[in-house]
Amino acid sequence: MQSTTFWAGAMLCAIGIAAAIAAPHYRMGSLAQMGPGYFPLILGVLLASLGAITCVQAVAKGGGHRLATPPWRQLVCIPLCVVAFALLVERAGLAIAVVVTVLIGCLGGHQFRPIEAIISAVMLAILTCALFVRLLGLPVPIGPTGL
Amino acid sequence: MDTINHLWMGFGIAVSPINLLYCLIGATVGTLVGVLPGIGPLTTIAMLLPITFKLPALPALIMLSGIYYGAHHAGSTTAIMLNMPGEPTSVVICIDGHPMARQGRAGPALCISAIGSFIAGCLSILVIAFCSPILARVALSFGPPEYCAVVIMALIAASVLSNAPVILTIAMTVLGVLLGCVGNDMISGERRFDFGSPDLADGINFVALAVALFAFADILSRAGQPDQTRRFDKIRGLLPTRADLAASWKPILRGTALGAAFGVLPGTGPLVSSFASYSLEKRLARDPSRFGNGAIEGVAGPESANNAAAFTHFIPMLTLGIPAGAAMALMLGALMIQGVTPGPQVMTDHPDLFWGVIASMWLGNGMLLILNLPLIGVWIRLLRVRYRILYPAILVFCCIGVYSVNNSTFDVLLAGGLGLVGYLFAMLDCPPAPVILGFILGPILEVNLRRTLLISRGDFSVFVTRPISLGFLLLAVALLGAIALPALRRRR
Repeated sequence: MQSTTFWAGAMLCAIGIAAAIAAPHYRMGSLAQMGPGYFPLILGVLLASLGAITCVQAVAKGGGHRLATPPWRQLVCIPLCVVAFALLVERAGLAIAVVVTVLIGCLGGHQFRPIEAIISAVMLAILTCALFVRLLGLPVPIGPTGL
Repeated sequence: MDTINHLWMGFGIAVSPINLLYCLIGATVGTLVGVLPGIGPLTTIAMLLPITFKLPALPALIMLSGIYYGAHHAGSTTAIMLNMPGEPTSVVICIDGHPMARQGRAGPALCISAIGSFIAGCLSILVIAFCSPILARVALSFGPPEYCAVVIMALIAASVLSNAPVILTIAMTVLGVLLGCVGNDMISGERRFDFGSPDLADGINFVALAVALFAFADILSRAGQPDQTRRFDKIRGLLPTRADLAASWKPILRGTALGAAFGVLPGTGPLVSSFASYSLEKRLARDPSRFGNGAIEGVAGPESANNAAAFTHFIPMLTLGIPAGAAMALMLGALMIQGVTPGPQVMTDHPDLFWGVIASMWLGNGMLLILNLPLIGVWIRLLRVRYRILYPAILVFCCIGVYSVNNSTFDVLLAGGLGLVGYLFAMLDCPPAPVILGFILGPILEVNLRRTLLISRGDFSVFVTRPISLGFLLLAVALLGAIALPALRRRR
């Protein structure tokens, strides 16, 4: 299994190539009158080259370390709670969004302690509503809006 | 002298009750959040940035500055008490600060570090006050080629002075610049890379990016780990002995000088300054073997260097409009949202903003001293907060923060997705800070590059025929050379 540095270089090289391919879809123009596509093309080529160099260096010299196993539960739960927040905050209001976000977030922790999670959720909901909506005037509903 | 008059005016503005209040809130919140485990200054600023949007420009900047230096200084509290640096620049403080704590001398260590920081802050704010007008006057003669050259130098300096391999860091910077291309092209008005989505028309929300790469990525790495039990050593008395004070005052002054000089450098100038101060103190000490076992000079010097650098770090941003690091980049973004375009004209167009902020930094510096000494018991108690309770709160605050920038749930979703990307970066040891720097500086670079080439009709020699631009580019080349040469020599 290649090292982290190798995959880092590979990833950046891939992004660079993608950018270099996408850039010419926009008007290129000339050097003196650069169109919107020119600069991204330069960047894409530069990024791809640097990524490739990093890859080659990783294979030749080593460096970096082995990839760790990804923490799957965290990688699912944490983005899920952010998505939940995005979906709920305008429809169900800030309070409910916060409660759901905290509960799902706690599910993503090392140990799920239900009582702690519920207390945190409720307290945070109260705190954030008081701070952001009442005090700072954030234009977001606290409770569910009529659908 | 003119500067004195301006400072006087600045103080007049900064001591108004509202501005004093925001200064206090900023410094307190910055210290509070900075002390909490798992939240560094960058995450703190990204999280609290949106709170300042509702405020007018001056109080917002005052509060953000307070958060910045409050969080910065909180890093040394955790370094001394827990051997856990709050952020990279406090790593050096652990070396002698934690042994002092283990010897029961945490009190004097914290006290000297607070005093050193205060003195360093006062002196470096004077540096800011006197050097900025000169720098701004020079910058007023900057044209597009000079801005282009400055940005290139800043990006290269930031990449060279980092811990990660140089090529990788430069690549991450380029990635950041590329991300900055998403959205409206400033010169032609056409939309780029927006995947047809109207939400990306104005580009990626920079708070979403910062929160994703720093806060979310960090939480993704840490949430699954079991809470570590931390041992706390008792604090047996706060005041340093006369011997401590006598040993510390010269390191404090030397550290301040180093920090003030290095802090202006883009990238990890502050990091370099604290290491440089430690090496200097060790070399100058009569008994170097004490270092590593609780030598107070090893705390006083680097801490002062740290704080001085944190303040002078503002200079490029305030005078040129070029952020010297990721934290400054976030503040620049905040200023732009407020409608203030940072640059040398800020001093002439918004003198109240500029001098008010500088004066308020001085007051905030004093507030930090008061916050960090008597309230040390409170902060210590906060250190005990379990991460598993903390990170859902961080998640919520970040989500609300990102949402509040544009009242956009798309931004929150974007932040969530980018958080996974940020985790990927962390897993692959790719440094995220250059991405933010490149993201903020990229548009400046592109606009000025295109303007330069437009005026010179595609002629690149204009970069080397104009002296200031040539100077910056030579500096960039020199920095790259300084890194490349040792590598070449090693291969032989």
